[in-house]
Amino acid sequence: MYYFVNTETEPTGATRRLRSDTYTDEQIIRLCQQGRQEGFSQLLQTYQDRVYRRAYSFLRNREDALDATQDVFLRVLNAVGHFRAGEPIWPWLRKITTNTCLNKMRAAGGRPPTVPLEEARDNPHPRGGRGDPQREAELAWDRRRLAEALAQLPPLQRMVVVLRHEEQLTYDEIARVTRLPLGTVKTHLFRARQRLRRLLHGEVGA
Amino acid sequence: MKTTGCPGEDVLQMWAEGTLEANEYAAAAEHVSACAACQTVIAQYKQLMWDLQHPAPVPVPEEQAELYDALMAAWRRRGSEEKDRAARSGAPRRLVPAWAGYSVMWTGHLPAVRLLRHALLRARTPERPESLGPRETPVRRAVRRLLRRRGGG
Repeated sequence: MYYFVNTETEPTGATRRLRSDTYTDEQIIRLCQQGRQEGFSQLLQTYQDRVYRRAYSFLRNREDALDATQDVFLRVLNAVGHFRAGEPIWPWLRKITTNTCLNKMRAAGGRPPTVPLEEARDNPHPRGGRGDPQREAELAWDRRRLAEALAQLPPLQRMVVVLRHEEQLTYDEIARVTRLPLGTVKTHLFRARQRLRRLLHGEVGA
Repeated sequence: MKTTGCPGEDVLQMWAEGTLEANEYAAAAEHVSACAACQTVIAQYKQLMWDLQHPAPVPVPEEQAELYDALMAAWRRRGSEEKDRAARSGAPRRLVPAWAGYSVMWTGHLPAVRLLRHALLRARTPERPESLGPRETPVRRAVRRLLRRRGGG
């Protein structure tokens, strides 16, 4: 069977990636393990943006998220030979992304987070409101406030919230991925949600 | 405004999340159904959890394309390094893994395999003509040489 890499070279010299969803996770891993370039290319095409977005939701910083994405795939490059073909790739990548971001958070120490929020303004809310400018503006405002509130959380609390609500992991799964005790996960989650509610609803003690 | 009889905020969070144990739910249900403050907190948590599940899509920066190229270059570099390493070592590629060879070797000690081997050897050896007399064994040869040295052979 032959696979073709969907790439085009742009005038700038950078290779533009084209989407093709014809590869399964198993095919991608097998091609990578055979040392085939198109396997790794397909892995990047399928998961690079997803890893970036997850890293961004943990770190809330564009440059840090790009660094983390690079680190994640460099680790994947060396470890893909040991990955069992047939298993889904995303949980593995999510774990590497989480660990890489945890390391970055620890290395950053007490550095205050930066909050680029331009993206929150222009995106329509999934709850609807299309065609109703007033409603769209309200929803965008809500999202912006939520993003600001998330950025104010301590990094570990934010990570636990993202894993619970965006990734829909159970408490046990979060404990496994972050290598934190279950009780610590529950405490982080409780405090994070409590603080978010207070920040968003203006309760005293926020 | 929460009253003193209100359940803890952790209970209200888990209520909104749907992860409250049945007995905890039963204990809190009567109070919550009559308490506007608790209902407000639960509604706020439900809204918060819904919003967290549906975050604004994060835009992908342009640098992702450059990162893709850099990572592909790293992959090619790694592949060529591996080839160089294999060429430098000069080791011929094994057709049979070592463990398979050893395990075949050890089967020679099994009685059934030894009997089979003897039977095959005997079948392969041509019949000795009777005119040559009995087959000389190492013991017979040694006795014959000893007798010859003593002059009796």
